[in-house]
Amino acid sequence: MKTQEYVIRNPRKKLVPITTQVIRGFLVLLLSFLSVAWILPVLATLLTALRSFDSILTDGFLSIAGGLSFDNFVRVWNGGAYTYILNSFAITIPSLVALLILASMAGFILSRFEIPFARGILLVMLAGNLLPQQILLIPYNRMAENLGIFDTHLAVILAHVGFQMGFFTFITYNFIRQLPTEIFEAARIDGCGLWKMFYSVLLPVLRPPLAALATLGFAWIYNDLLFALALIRTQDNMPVTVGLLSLQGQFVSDYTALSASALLSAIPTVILFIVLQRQFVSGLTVGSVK
Amino acid sequence: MSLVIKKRGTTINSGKAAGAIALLSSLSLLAGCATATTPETPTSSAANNSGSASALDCSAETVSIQTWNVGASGAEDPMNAVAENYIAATGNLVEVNSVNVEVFRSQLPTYVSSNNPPDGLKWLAGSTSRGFAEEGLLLDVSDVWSEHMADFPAGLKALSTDSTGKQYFIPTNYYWWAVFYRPSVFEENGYSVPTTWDDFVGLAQQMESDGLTPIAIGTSGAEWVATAWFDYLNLRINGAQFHRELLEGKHSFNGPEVREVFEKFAEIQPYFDPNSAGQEWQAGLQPLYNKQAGMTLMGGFLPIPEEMANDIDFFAFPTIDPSIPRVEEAPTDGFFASANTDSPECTKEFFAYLATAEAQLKFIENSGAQIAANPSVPDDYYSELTRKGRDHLAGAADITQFYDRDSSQEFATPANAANARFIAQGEAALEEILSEWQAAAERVLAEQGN
Amino acid sequence: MRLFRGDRFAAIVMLGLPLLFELVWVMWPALQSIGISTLRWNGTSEPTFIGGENFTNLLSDPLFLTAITNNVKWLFVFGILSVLGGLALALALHEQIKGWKIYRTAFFAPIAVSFVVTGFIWKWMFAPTGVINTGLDAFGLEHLVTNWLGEEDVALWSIVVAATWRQVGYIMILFLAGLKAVDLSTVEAATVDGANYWQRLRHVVLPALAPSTATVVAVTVIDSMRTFDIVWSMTQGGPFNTTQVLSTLMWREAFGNYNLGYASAIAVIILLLTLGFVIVYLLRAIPKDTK
Repeated sequence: MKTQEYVIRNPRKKLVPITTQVIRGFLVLLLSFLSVAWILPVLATLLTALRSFDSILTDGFLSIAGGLSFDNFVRVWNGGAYTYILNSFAITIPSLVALLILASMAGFILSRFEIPFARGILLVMLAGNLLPQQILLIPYNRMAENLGIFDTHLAVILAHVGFQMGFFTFITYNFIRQLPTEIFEAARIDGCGLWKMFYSVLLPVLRPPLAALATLGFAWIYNDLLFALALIRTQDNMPVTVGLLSLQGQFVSDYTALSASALLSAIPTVILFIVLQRQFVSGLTVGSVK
Repeated sequence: MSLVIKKRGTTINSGKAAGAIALLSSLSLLAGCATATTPETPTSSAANNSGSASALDCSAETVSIQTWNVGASGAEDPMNAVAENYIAATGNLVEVNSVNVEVFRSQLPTYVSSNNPPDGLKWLAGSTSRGFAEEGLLLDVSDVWSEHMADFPAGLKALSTDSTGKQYFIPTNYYWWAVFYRPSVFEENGYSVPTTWDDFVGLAQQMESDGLTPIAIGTSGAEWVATAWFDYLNLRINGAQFHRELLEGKHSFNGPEVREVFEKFAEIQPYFDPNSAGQEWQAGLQPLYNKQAGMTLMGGFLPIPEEMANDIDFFAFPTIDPSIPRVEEAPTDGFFASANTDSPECTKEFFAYLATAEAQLKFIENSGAQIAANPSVPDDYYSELTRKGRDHLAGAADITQFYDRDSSQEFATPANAANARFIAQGEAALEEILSEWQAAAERVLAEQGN
Repeated sequence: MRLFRGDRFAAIVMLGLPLLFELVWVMWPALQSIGISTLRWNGTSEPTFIGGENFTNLLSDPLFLTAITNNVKWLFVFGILSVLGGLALALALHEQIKGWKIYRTAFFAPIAVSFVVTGFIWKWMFAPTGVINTGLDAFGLEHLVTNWLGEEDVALWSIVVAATWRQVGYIMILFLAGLKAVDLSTVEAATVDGANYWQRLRHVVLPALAPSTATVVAVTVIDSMRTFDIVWSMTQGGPFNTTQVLSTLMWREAFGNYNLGYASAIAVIILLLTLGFVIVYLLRAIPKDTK
């Protein structure tokens, strides 16, 4: 006869009651080990970034002989990383703002009003986000040329706004659908037109999905390589993803500098994730749980 | 939805819709950011000036130069220094934009076909540039040649001339290929420089037994490094004419001549760095710098750290068949201009400056061992090593550029994969390598022929 | 709600503008690409119409077959590893054992880093004298030292390891959310009936996770077909074409060989392959009770 113990320490909902402390202990050990293993590559990169090139040559990769310093970060920062990161922000922030506004509007209309083919429209928009990016590169190049915006941040912003529009709309749509009808009815009765409704009624309550989208979207757009590579040709306009390639060419097999530049370029997204982890997680899961 | 393909132009145009869409697109966005140099209309004085010996006044226009860097660690693009000197000397304006070479390569067709192109572009002499010229995409720079470059060698001029007899290319520098080594390592171990193939293989054997990696090499992301070996073996065994014909697709890669090449290749293959496929070419050179490798077949662009400046030397790729004259590879870099440029005269003015010895020397200052295209550079400007390299080329019976410059990039891709694979895997893979190579070559030729 | 007449304009702008973006910046270029795939074009000279010839050439191109095979290999290995790994981690972390939040962050952290940086970090770890080989040496396992990215049998799997490392945390989060939504009463009922952990897992939990699983599978398939950044930054499709996937092949054809028509044909193939799964994902994603 098996006795089943419910462990009181964590009274929150559990899937399955664990019968022995041993299994839990084992899991803790296993997970600790795995977590460390998971972080190891990043730590190793950090270690390399903090050392000098000569000490790597003489002492190999796994020692701290030769001291640690931030010199490589400084070198890479001055070598162009600063400009590239700024460019990434110059592309990402406007894209996000545009996307959030446009997707909220589209989600609003599609979810709360009788629109013919609403489901079809949503399908089409979502499909756009699932296309392979490669199929868009050559036409983007030509379009940007013809519009005279080749080699500008604007071209990349437009590309991102178009490409992510579907997913963003889908998320806002799902969220707005679940809002209580009363708030809109009340606004209606008050005589609000659509714009007023959007601005004063909807936006204030849209914070959760917008925060999630902002976080997710930031990561996607900031980390994009292909659009920038197809649309930007002036070195000083390049975002950090392309810039990283250039830094690779500049510092060649200098792994200390390369590690520093890789980590530097990742800092904005890492910070964002740490600060907004909860929103990000909820953003990821909104689409998958029904 | 119709795709309008312009007959004369080169772009697929969505017509008036594009304009309307641009308007709508821009409505809903916040201001975009930095733009490239806006095209400037030439002032009338510059346009009417027929480019005589006296310098043009180009201070109102900015000539934009798109260039690329392979980059020694942390080094700035030398073009910046050249441009600075030009600006200081003439008051004309030049703007340099330097990008990573792979980025440049992938964007190159967009540069030359753009409506707002960079005025001048640095690229390699060879099939790609010639292809652009034949399509009429490049500016005619024959007057720069006739006025400023009359003393350049005939070979360079031929390289820069298209099929209609006009020049489109301004060569600035070239370099040689040879087997580089560290004299100190040779001295320590009592090695002597080989001149024949058997000596060469014997030397490699000796190096291996002495605990060195005989041949340093890295092919990851740079499989063309392997093709250098094929080029030289082919040139030494079958001669320049066969080599050129092969690259035009006139011979089979599975045929007896190429097989003979690989027979010799197989003799040296065991002595390559076994990690060749897992490291980039710069990382592949590291053992040479650390004195853990004996030699490497490389071009004069190889980075030479300061500490090594006096401890590096080279010898010509060894002779295999004494009846075949010595042919060397000497890839040439230079500049061309887009035919769509808004500042043709000012660009040519800058090119004229680029053709001078002063500019070219500045350009090649920190780029390994390169030779200026301008022949009037006095000997003492060059390091001993470079002078030796220049003589090494001058004594050759013929000069080729390099596989991917003599044939097309497309034709070179299967070659690179084949040779990189042979270096890594050796004779065991030979049959597969050759049949795949031949099939790929046939495919490319069929496509190009139509 | 109903649209009043006065709202008409606002609604058109609010929906129309995003739709316009979608059409102009996604649909139209995609169609253009399909059009380009019927041409032979090097980007500078005049294009030539050749109909389906690019596609027939593709089918006889051994590199294309290599690439598709690699994508399929990728799909199965990367897919199975990351999905099972993510599921296992989610199940373990769902128990909320001590420190589970820390573990969750640890596994999730790689998502913050782009694929390019991931590729770089692992490229450096897999280098012949890199961290992994150095570590193996240090622990006396020299016989395991391999040219991870230079040997044709190993290179692709090395890249898959790197990609999985990054992906597992993402899948884990998706499953964690799905687990939170599982109805506890069913589980408790099963427990009362005498089912053990594995039985509960198989008969109650996993079926309840079906929505999450479907999404996870669809997304994994789509991303496997599209994968580019990480392969490109680690091997560029080498050594000697053994790690080519469809997107790296496309990139090389477009921007290395300047074969825009051929490259667009490859992009169209990528599109067709993902289309099946895209439709599945979409049908799942958009609830049927949409008005």
